[in-house]
This record gives sequence, C-alpha cells and structure tokens, in this order.
Amino acid sequence: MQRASVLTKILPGKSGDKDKKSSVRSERLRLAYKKTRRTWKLFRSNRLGILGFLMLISFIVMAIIAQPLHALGLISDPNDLRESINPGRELEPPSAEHLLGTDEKGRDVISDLFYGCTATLIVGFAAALLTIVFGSSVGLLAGASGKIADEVLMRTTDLFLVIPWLPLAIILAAFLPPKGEPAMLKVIFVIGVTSWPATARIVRSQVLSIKERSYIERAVCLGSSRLHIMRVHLLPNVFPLIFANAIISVAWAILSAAFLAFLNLTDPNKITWGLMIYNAFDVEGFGAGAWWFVLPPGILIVLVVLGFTFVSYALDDILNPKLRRR
Amino acid sequence: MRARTILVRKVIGLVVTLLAVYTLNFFLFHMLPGDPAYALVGPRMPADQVAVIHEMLGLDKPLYVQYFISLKLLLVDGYLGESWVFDKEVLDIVLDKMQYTLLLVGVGTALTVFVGVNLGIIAGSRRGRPVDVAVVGSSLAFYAMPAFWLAMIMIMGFSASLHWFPLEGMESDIGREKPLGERVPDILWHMVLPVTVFVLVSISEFVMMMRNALVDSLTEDYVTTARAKGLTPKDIVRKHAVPNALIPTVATTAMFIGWVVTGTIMIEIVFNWPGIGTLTLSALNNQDYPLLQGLFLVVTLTMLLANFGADIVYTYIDPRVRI
Repeated sequence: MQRASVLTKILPGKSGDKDKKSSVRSERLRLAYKKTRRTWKLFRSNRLGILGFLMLISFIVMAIIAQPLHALGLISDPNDLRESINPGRELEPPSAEHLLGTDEKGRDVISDLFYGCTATLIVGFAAALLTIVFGSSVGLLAGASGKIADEVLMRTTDLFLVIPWLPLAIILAAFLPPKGEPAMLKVIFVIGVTSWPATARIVRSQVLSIKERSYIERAVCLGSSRLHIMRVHLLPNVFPLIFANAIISVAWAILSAAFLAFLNLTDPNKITWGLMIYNAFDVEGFGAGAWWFVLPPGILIVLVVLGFTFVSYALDDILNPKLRRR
Repeated sequence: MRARTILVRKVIGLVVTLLAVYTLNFFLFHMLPGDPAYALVGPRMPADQVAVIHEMLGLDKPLYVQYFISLKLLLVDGYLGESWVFDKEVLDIVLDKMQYTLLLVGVGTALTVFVGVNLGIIAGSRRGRPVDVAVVGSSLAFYAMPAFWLAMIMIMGFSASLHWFPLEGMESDIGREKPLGERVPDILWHMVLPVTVFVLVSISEFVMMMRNALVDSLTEDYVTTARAKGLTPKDIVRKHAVPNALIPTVATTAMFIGWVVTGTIMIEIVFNWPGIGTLTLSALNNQDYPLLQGLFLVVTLTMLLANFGADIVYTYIDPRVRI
C-alpha cells in the first residue's frame, strides 16, 4: 500500500520534469526523516548511549559558553597572557577567588578548563572529519574499483596501518613547517593523516559486501556508471557505518591531540587539556602535589572520550543488526 | 605444502613492506628543510668547506643515488648514520636503549595478556551481573585515560606522597658498582609503577575482546550440546567456550603491538625510564634528525617483525585462516 503511494509520488504521470524532481526529493527527505526518528527511538532506549549523549552535550555547552562567560568577566582568557597571568601567584591551591587554584603561570585553572574545552573539541572534530573523509574515500574507491586499484590502495593502507602511530605523528609534527602560527591546523593534519587507515579498511569491507547484492548487479545491467553506483547505491549504504566510525574517531583524535601536546608538539600558547597536563608535568607540578592543576584536565579528557565511546557503542548496537539480536 | 606457500607469500609481503617503510622513511627525511652540513659544523661555514662536507656525505649526488648508497650501507654494514648530538653510531645508541624498553614492554605485555584474558573470562561468563559491569566499566575508564596522565597521578600518589616507590628512573645511585643481587631487586622496585600504568591503560583491549568472544561462543550450538551432556557450567566455560574464544584474542595481540610503542613512549617519559621513549624525546628536542630517523626505522621494523610473528601464530592455531 505504502509502496504504491510512493510510486505515484515519484512518477506523477503528466506533471513536468521539474515537478517530478522536487517530489522525489521531498519523498526522500520524508523517508530520511522517518529513518532518523526510528534510529533516535532505538538510541533513546539505550541507557549507555543516552548517558554518553548527555555527557557530550554538556561538553559542547561548556565549549560554547566559554566566550560569553569571558565577556561577562566570570573567567579570564588564558590564551591572552597580558590579561590572565598573575606573577607571584603560581600553583596556588584552591581558594574562594580561584575555585580550582592557579596554574604554572598563575592563571585561573577553571578558565583554562573552559577555554581548553573549546580548543580540544575543535581539534577533535576537525581531525575526525579529516580522518573520516580521507579514510572512507579510500575505502569506497578501493571497494568499488577494479582489482588493481583495490590492491594498490589496500597495500598502501596496510603500510600505514603497521607503522606505529606515535613515531610517525612525531616526525610529521616535528618537521611540518612552521613551528609557530597555525599549529592547531598542523595537529589536525597530523592526526588525520595518521589515523585514516582503520576507517578505510572498515568501509572497504562493507562496500565489498554491499557490492555483491543483486540491486547493484541490476544497476550495472541498466548501464549505470561506476560513479553513479558509488554515489547513489554504495555511499548511502555505508554511511551509517561511517557515522559510527566518525564518533569513535573523535575520541581517538582527542586522545591523540593530548599525546602530541604532551610531547610539546602543539602550540604552547593555545590552551588545551593535553597542554595543561604537559605544563603540569613540565614544571613538576605533579611532584609538588598540585592536584588541582593535574587532576581536572585529565578527568575531563577521560569523560569526553568515554562520552564518545558510549555513543558509538550505542550506535553500533542499533546499526549492526547482528549485535541487536544478542 | 599448503602451509609453506602461505608462509612464503607472507615472507614476501613482509620484505616488500620493510622496503616500503625504509623508502618512505628515507624520502620523508630528505624532504626536510635544512642542510645537514650546516647542522654538523654550524651556520658560519665558508661555501667551499660546505661543498667538501657535501661530497663526504654524498649529498652532491642525485637523490636516487643517495637512496641506494644508504640502503647498501644499512644492508651490508648495518650502518644508520651518526647521531649529531651523542657522537656515536645511531644503531648502537638505539640498540642500547632498546633493551631497557624491551624489559618494560615484555613484562608489561605478559601481565596485560594474562590479567586481561582472565578478567575477560570472569566478565564474559557472568554476563550482565555486577562483576561484569564493574570489569567492563573500569577497563573502559582506563582505556579513555591518557597514559601519561595516569603515570603522573601514580607518581603523585605512590611516590611523592606515600614514598612507596621511587619517583623516576630505572635504578638508584647509577654511578656505583653493585652486585647483581642488589641490582635486580632495585630495578624491579623501580619497575612496579611503570608496569602497572602500562597494564592498566592497555588491558581494556584484551578484556573486551575476550569477554565478547566468550559471550559469542557461549551461544554456539556446541555449548548447548555440552550442557545437554551434563557438564557443569564451569567445565563448559573452561573446556569448550574459552579455547574457541582465545583465537580472536591472539589477533588482538597482533593489533596491540602497534599500541605498545605509543603507550611506552608516554610512560617512559613520565618515569624517566632510560629507553626508546626518552631517547625519542631527547632526539626531538635536540633536533637530532639522524637519530630520530634511525629510531623510527628500528621501531617500525621491530613492530613489523612482531606483527609477522603474531600472524604466523594465528595461522597456526586457527586453521580457518589458511583458506
């Protein structure tokens, strides 16, 4: 019954070509909306997923309100040294004025945390986006192309997969010019370039299994070009997988950025949570027992990584029908 | 016969990958800005002297000739260049530090696999019960922790406050000659915290893999058969489900090898353990490029070989892979 109505909508008979196109589009939108709502319903029933989702929402809120709070004068901008440093008041324990004490330059730790949240999330999302776009393009191309292209792409992927991540990232970060200005872009680039192979592998294997289905064969018989098949049939079908993978990639990117910050390979003037821990390590704040400076950034990293992990587990449960049965 | 063809194919694959890594490494480092001659003797060198050094180092030849020269030096003489800072051959420095890293990583990995697999069995055979939730929850929390941060917390708690363990290093009073009977307990005492951090941050992979594989295999038909035969639940888990669930765990070990390097570098730096990690950091800070290049190469080659070993073991224990 429903299918019939869909067909009449898609093929409205006499009406013009333009009209047909727009009605196809609106039907697609309706279906996409329906699907999203169903997924959301399933997601809502997953307690871990909701927990992770709430955690992520609160971190995003934290990142967004950093600027307004600064405008209200509640926190100071740790990246603006003239405004925020307090000489002579370094590593002070928590007090009424500074609820979580001060850092190695006498800056308010709470302000560091808020500004660090913005930078951490931006790096995480951007690096994950780069990873996903690059990884899934390689995976899609490898899966959908002929044998030789597949072999070449996959051997390259394997090569990058076996190279230990951190040494490669260190070398790239150390040598990419320049060491100064847009260091954030460099970090994003380094993480993206070093973490795409896993995504490429996952996407390729999914493409290979979809390629065997009969509707692809039908499309080939109808004379669809390879590009058309990739765009219309393969990409939408691997998209849920790419999405779940993107979420876990953000978690990985945030951890990676913290690693790079700890090796002093990121911009020392742009506060992130990883850089805070590095600073605490650098001034031996942890040996002096400055727990208010060491603990909070680490705890926040753990929470944000867990948040992304929970959401990705929940999505896995929903999108992977094999797991749902269990 | 069949097994031998697979082995030959894998060895060929390994050699090709090794060569690819070497090539990548070579060109990556040769695309770097800066002239090694200036780095060796300083920037105020007259041009003719620089030319002499270039000739000495073979830098006047085209890049592809340099590539083959350095490949020949590596394969025939085992020569990876000289460190700019330590005035020693890169390979000697790296191999010297490697033994300390291997000590840390070896003990850490053995403990991780043993504890991880057993915790996975405990959690998997009690699926959904509080023990399962506790094990899975805590191993996930440790998975999300940056290794260096956990190491700092450990030092803050157990070394700086409680004074149970040393703050850093591998031995106390390094200069003094000590009998072996005194050295071994000392080193072990220094190893406790680094190894603990190593195990904690890397265990989740094994716990989760073992738990999920066990949960899967407990739903298989042969488990129902075993139950019908009247085996106790304990025997079903131990004799039927665990051996099958162990197979994917071996594959995890192979994947895990890649993570080892990252984790170790972090942990070594915080604990000032005199291994590959601290060496990498000092090479990085000194901009000692030949040393950094050599480190990258040796570490990658070690990883590749370890991966290869795990791959062979996997093929051996799971006949299905051989098809």
